[in-house]
This record gives sequence, C-alpha cells and structure tokens, in this order.
Amino acid sequence: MKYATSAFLAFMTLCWPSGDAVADLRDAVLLKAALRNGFTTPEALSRPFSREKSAVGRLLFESTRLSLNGDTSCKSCHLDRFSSADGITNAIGVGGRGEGIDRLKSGGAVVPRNTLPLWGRGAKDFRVFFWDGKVEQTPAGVRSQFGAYAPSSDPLTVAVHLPFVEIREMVVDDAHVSREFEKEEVAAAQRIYALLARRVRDDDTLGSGLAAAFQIDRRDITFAHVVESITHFYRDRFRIRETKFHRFIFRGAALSAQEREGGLIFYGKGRCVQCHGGPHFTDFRFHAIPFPQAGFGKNGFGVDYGRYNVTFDDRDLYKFRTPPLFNVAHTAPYSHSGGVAKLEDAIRFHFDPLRFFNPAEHDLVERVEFYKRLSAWSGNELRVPVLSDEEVGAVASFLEALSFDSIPPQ
Amino acid sequence: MRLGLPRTSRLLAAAFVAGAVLSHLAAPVYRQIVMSIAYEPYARLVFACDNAMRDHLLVKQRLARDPASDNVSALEAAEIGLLDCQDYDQMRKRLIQWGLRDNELALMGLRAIEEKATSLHRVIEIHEIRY
Repeated sequence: MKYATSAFLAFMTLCWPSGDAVADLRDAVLLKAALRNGFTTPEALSRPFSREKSAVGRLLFESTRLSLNGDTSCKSCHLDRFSSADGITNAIGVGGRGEGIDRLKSGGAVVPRNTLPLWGRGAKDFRVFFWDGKVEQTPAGVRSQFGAYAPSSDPLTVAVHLPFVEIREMVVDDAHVSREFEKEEVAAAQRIYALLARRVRDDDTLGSGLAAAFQIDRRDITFAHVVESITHFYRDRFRIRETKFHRFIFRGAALSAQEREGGLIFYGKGRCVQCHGGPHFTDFRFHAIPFPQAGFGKNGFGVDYGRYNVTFDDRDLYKFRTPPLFNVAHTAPYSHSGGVAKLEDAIRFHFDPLRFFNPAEHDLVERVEFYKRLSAWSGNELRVPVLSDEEVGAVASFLEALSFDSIPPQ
Repeated sequence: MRLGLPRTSRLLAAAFVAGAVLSHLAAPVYRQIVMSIAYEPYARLVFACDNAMRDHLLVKQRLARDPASDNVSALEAAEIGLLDCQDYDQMRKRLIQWGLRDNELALMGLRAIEEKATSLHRVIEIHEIRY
C-alpha cells in the first residue's frame, strides 16, 4: 500500500503542470527569509589576518609545550578529522592519548563538556564564547573570568587565553598545581602565561617563528604574542567558507528538494531560526533544551547548571549558548555534554525529549535532574512545534548544506 | 419488433450501453480506490495546514499583546509555515482533477480530523461511571 501511495503521488506530481512555479515560489521564500535573518557571504564575515602570524599560530596550536605539564595541545581536542571538534562526548584533557574513542579510553582527565568546534570563532560578529558564554562581548566591554584585568578588548583573544589555565583541560590537577596556581586570582594565571611564554622563547622553531612574524627580538616575546598569533590562525583556518547554501543564495545554484523543504522548515514552522538566526546561525543567547547529561557534569553528580555557573542567576539554570551551525553535520556528538550521537536526534530533542527518556534507565537523582531541565525548557515560548520524521530529515539535510570542506587547502 | 440496423451497429450500440452502465457502476469504486491510496498523505496535509493556521493565529495574538522582536520573528516564521496550506490546496486540486468530488474530500478531511476519536472512545470506556 505504501508503494502504491508513493507511486500514485509521484504520478500525480508528474502530471501537475505548476511544479516549477511552486519550486520557484519556495526558493524565493527561502532566499528572502535567509537574507532577512542575517545570512551573509563568507567574505562579509571574514576578518583580516597575517599569513605569517597564522603560520606560527598553527605551530603553537599544535604544540604540547603550551600545556603546563607538556602533554596536551589545542589540537589534541580540535582535530581536522572531527571537523575541529574531537568526536567524543566529554572532552579529555591532560593525560589523554590518541583521538576519538581511543582518547576517551585513554584515562585522561575528563573535561565535563563537549568540545566545541572552532568554525567562525575568528569571524566578525562572533561575540560569545564557550557553552556557558564565560567570555562575551557586551556593550560595556568583554566580560570574562578575568574581570577588570581582561588581557584584551577582543573576546576571541580573551577566550584563547583560557584553556591554557583551565585545570584538567591543559593544566594537570596535581599537588604542585594546587599549591602554586589553583587560586581564584588573575595573578596565578599570569604566572602560568609567563612560564609558557618563556618556553616558547626557548624553543628554536616557535621562538624564532614568532619573533619573525611580529618582527621583534626573540627575547621580547610575551604570552600576548602567542595568543595573538593563535587568533590569526583561527581567523585563517577556521574562517567560514562557501557552502551549498551560499551558492543557492548568492549564485542561484539549486538546492535539492529535501534541502529546500528543510530550509523552509528551519526558517518557517520549525522556528529554528528564532534561536539559530543571524550570520552564524546563533542568537548568542542562552536557552534550555532537555538534552541528556553525559558524564559527571560541570557541577558534579551528573549536574550541569550551564549559564548559571557564570551569572549565578537562577533564571539561567540549565541554559547554554545557542550553538552556531556551520559544519554542524560533521561535528557529532551534540549538546553541551555530547550526549546525543545523531543530528536528527539533536533536532528531535528540541520538541520531543520524552521520546528518548526511559525512566527505568535512570536513578532518582538523574530523573529529578531531567525534570528540572524539562521544566526550564517547557517555559520557553520559542519551542519548536511538532515535526514529522520526514521533516526532521529535511532539516538535517538543510543543515548538511551549511557544510564546507573541513580541511582547507594548505 | 426487430430494429432495422445492421448486425455490427447493434453490437456497437450494445457495447456502448454496457460501457456506460459499467462506467456508471465503476465510478464509485474508482473514487474509493483513489481515496484509499491518497488518504494518508492527504490526512498529513490536513493536519499540517490546520497546525500552521493555528500556530499563525496564536503567534499573531501574542504579537498583538507583546510587540517584542522575538514575536515579530515568530510571526515571520509562522507565515512561512503557511506554505503547508499551499501544499494542502494543491493536493486537493489534484484529487479533484483525478475525479474526487467535494463530498469525498470532505469525508477524507473529517476522517483525518477525527482520527484520534478511537482513543477518546477508549478513554470513555475506561472512565465512564456505570450504573
């Protein structure tokens, strides 16, 4: 019967003379909606960068010398293979070995959040960093853990400073570190930065490369130079490039019927655009979606309060920054703790979280935590309405059209 | 009384009458077949359009109450959502083109709307007070 229905519909579609007109209307609606919601060219988002600084920034990005105990680099968790993420649920920081599932099994320190991809982080208008927005551009300046001592007025530069002083991420959690550095003061971070800068100065490749890129004496290298060259690398390597959707909007190329339908749902009845709008497909605001909590969570015991950890405002409980969507189809797993393996399921969690929840699989604390997340989500009027499996598939197909080559030409 | 027509003409006339009777009798069966094949996608579109219209109305009401930018963008999204009603209209016209009449279409629509009626009966069966 199902085949008969499909055959009948296909036949009817073929016999219907106005198919092209309908497609044209839909294309026009999608194009207008995308532009109205801030979609723009990759060039319009690009920020200038120095090739010399980017080249040495890449070396620094890949160097384990920039972790206090010398075993972790930025690249340990931001891999080309996983489209600048790491392909695992919670990140594994210091002590981790290998990539993907091997790293998860290696026994390194668990960083209780999902590694964020880096696409567009160096682009214009990218103003809120990390899952909980712990670095953000505000009208009053950059807000971060550095307080009044922010090392820069550029939020990316401030954000790049942080992983190097994050316990478990790039700093081993041992007695020495606990005694010398684990203090709630900027001066402790600055001591680590000074130590890392000295290592870079002492390294022939990194030191001479950085000195040449900045046209300074090697002895004058500071950690600010290190970070600045990494930000140039971000602007270069992780810049937004042309996607199939760009070609549709700006060059008149065709989308598949499924991609077009997905786009219309995204900008239309799915209301995805209400949070995933703007040039980066994010409103840079914070919303609660009742995703499963994988791992022990930022607050321990399987709990992650999200944005609350930054603002201490109980209205921010369980909220996380809306993730940007370029290359999202290639950066699984999804959500703040990486608890969702498939993109389609990540979409479904926005409107049908109970579909995935089996109370028998959870203990009391986990169940109650889930109810709290559910409660935070259910009060939001911006919720996605009902979507069929076919419609979810179409949205996923549209999101695939926001992909570009993960590994740019060298 | 015998008609003064050649044998071939009599046969043609008989075939014509038989064809007319057969097509008259077969039309409801044909329409029933079209209905049964088209019901599922039609019911889906009936729901989608109804949902889109309700959503549009609710968002308009919310915007009238609170002209916030979130509500403006929600209305824009709901307007695009009304494309589901265009799909519904088109399928309806296609089915008319394929021979269904308003009555059959209304019946299919009603069936779609009342699809959950069986579960309501089940609820009543369980919960009604029996004297």
